[in-house]
Amino acid sequence: MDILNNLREIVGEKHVLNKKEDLIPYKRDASFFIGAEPMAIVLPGNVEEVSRILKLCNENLIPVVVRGGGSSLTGASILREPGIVLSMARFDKILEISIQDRYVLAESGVKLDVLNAYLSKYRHFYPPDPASSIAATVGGSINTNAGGLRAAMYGATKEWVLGLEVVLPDGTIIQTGGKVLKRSVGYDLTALMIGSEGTLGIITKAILKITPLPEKYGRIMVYYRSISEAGRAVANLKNRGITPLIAEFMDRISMDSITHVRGIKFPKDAEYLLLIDISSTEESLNKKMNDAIEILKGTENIGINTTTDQNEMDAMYQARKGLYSSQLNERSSPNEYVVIGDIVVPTSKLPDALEKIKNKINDYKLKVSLFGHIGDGNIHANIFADINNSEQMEKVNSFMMDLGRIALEHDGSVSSEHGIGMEKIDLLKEEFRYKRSERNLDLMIQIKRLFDPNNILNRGKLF
Amino acid sequence: MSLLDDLDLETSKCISCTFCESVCPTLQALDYRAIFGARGRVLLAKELVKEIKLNGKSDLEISDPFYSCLDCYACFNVCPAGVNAGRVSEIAKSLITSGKYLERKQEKNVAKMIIISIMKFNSPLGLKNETTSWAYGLDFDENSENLLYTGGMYQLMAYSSVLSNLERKFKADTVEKIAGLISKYPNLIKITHPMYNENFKKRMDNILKSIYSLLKSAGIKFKYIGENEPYPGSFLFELGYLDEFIEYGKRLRDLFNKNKIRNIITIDPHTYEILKLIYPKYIENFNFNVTHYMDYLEKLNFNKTNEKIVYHEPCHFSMHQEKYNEPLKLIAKIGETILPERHGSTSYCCGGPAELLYPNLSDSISLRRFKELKESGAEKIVTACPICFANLHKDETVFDLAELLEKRLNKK
Repeated sequence: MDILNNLREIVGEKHVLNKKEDLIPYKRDASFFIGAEPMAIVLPGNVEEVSRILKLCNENLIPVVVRGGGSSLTGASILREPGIVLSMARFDKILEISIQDRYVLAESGVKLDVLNAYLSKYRHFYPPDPASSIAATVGGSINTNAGGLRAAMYGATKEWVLGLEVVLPDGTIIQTGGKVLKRSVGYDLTALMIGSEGTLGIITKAILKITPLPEKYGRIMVYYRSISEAGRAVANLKNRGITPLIAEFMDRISMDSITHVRGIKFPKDAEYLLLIDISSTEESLNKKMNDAIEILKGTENIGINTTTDQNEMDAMYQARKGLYSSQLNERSSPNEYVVIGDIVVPTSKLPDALEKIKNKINDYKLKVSLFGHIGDGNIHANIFADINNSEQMEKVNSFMMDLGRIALEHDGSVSSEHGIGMEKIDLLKEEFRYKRSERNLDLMIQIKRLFDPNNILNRGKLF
Repeated sequence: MSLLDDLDLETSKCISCTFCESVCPTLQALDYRAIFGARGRVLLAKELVKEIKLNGKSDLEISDPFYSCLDCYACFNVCPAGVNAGRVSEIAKSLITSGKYLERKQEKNVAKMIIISIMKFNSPLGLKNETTSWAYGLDFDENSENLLYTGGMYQLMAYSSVLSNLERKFKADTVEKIAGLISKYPNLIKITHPMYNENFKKRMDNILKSIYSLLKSAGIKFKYIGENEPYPGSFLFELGYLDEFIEYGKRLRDLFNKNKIRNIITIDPHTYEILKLIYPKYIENFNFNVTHYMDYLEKLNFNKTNEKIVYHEPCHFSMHQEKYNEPLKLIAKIGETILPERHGSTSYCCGGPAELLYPNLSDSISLRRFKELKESGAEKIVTACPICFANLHKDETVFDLAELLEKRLNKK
């Protein structure tokens, strides 16, 4: 209990929570895992407090898990064993913006939608756009190298982080990178922190690249019966030089869940929907849309709709962003959860990879919903399963491994944008094994030891 | 369906995606303590259901997390799974007041005091004649089947603000003790009556007169039942007193029937919603045509200016079941409408519903909203709810829409 008193001394009485009721929400994130009981939740308000907390925990060998929005899909933001949860919720300030230098400086607890609402006043935005952007934070999305819908055009988070303020486990505060687009100063520690899932240090501030908002965009929705044909459509667009702003696909289960929760209706005979946004200047949008439609007409579709109505586009965009959660309505029993697959392949390999995934689902006889950010080759396979049924979960894990292998056989990866967390530790090993690069894992473990010799930060994640 | 099953059903759809947490006004106002946010409340309720199913009772302390919910439903509007964390709080409060499921009593004395007063006096603060002063000298049509039903809502504000000010001065424990005493001796509530805010009462009376005048200008005939007019009962539902809510609803139904009312003209969002949508679900033969006074103003002519007017939408008009947009149409007739950054289904509560139980929480949220409205750059802030008005009325630029409409009415 001395530790709790010490923590209270650092952040103040009301920012250390340890009542039974207070701990409940911190045992869950958006994954299906249930975390260990926290000793306490600590909500620091500045970097010095974070530094003192880490120093204290490091000296006392207390595990620490950092928590941003708590929207991790792999259990990255919950404890694997008793320790403290470091909530970054109070790091909610946007500190500086420079339009000329194209950056914004924000604290790590700022939600991505809040950041973009602020930037929109300057007609700019920060492109990484995970579906959870209403809840996801700057720090959390850097820690998972989040991608999202707009990654088809703008890439994932790693393309947009210029510099960081990080607190190391011994309490040292470091600055990495800076406010310039280029620098060549040895190892890129900023890049190292991206996707590190809170295992190396606590990100407290980030300098993020920003870019002007697209002038205008329009939407094309194409319906298919064949999954590979949907994949071919994206490959064809890209082959003809069209990079969509977003390119999403979803299957019938996904469409039904949106209909049930949001009331948006889709053609009854459609098995798959391809949703494409094309951005352009006001003057040339029509031409670009028509070019894309012509290409899409060349695929075996069962209908094409287009719109530039902002309300209509917004409603569907929000529906797509909430798709994972709305799928819970499609459960066949209250014991079922949704286990999320998240793989990526080059878009040229999409038709074949999708077909193989479809066949694998049939082999396993699992209820799986397929959807994803198809524009960058990212496929999500959501599996409906009773996580307390060990036999069923064994089957799910085996399917997840096979899904990962399909990605690897098609030059892709076992994790596209959700990270590894607790969920994909075996899959990470499989990726390195497949690439005959087991040494990668050794290097990662050594880097972890160098940063965090006492292994206090997010213990039990990644490896 | 039992309360427990109801709570189980509502929370079982939650996947903990945290979308709701991002829009919950109480979370930020209470230092990001998760059980004071929408997601935390849902997870707490899940645990509560689990414990009760396992042990018959729970020892979880749930009172403050659920009573502090503003019932704004911002959470519901962003939930991709259709979970209504606001509804979760309502059901959890009913579990608390039922006294069956918790190891120890967790009912709030302030809530109980309000409920006892409503049941005994037909008013949360035991007001009666005090609510009718606005109507002195005005003509009503006693034979009309239309009832102008104020519910005492605007009138209540001058008295409730005094009570919440007293609450701010004392510690929460002391307030609970005093409320406990008043619950035992309900007539004591009347001690607070002389302490009302006189200027604010005049302002609220004038708003009511404006509404009267607008309806008269629109050629509507209506009656008003004065000191016999009861409070609409919203607190009973929102604070989880379902049995009392149903009993009270029947009382209202019988009163309306006795007065031969067919059409009830409401003047605030809370009354409009509860009469139109909630009582009919719980009470047999609650068959009245429920309207809002703004429904009748379409044909009136107003003098339009270039003045920028920002509209704070009441939660019960924008985020609850009924989306009521007449105020927006009317604002467009008198000036240039500005919508704040958060509006429509993603609007932000004024903090008012917490005023009597958690005045400091209410202050924090209303101040935040007021700043947002000021940042819109509009010359005037307008709302259409007495609770929103009372909480946002922080400078001379804030108005109830009825005030502006009457002022800009073109009577030619």
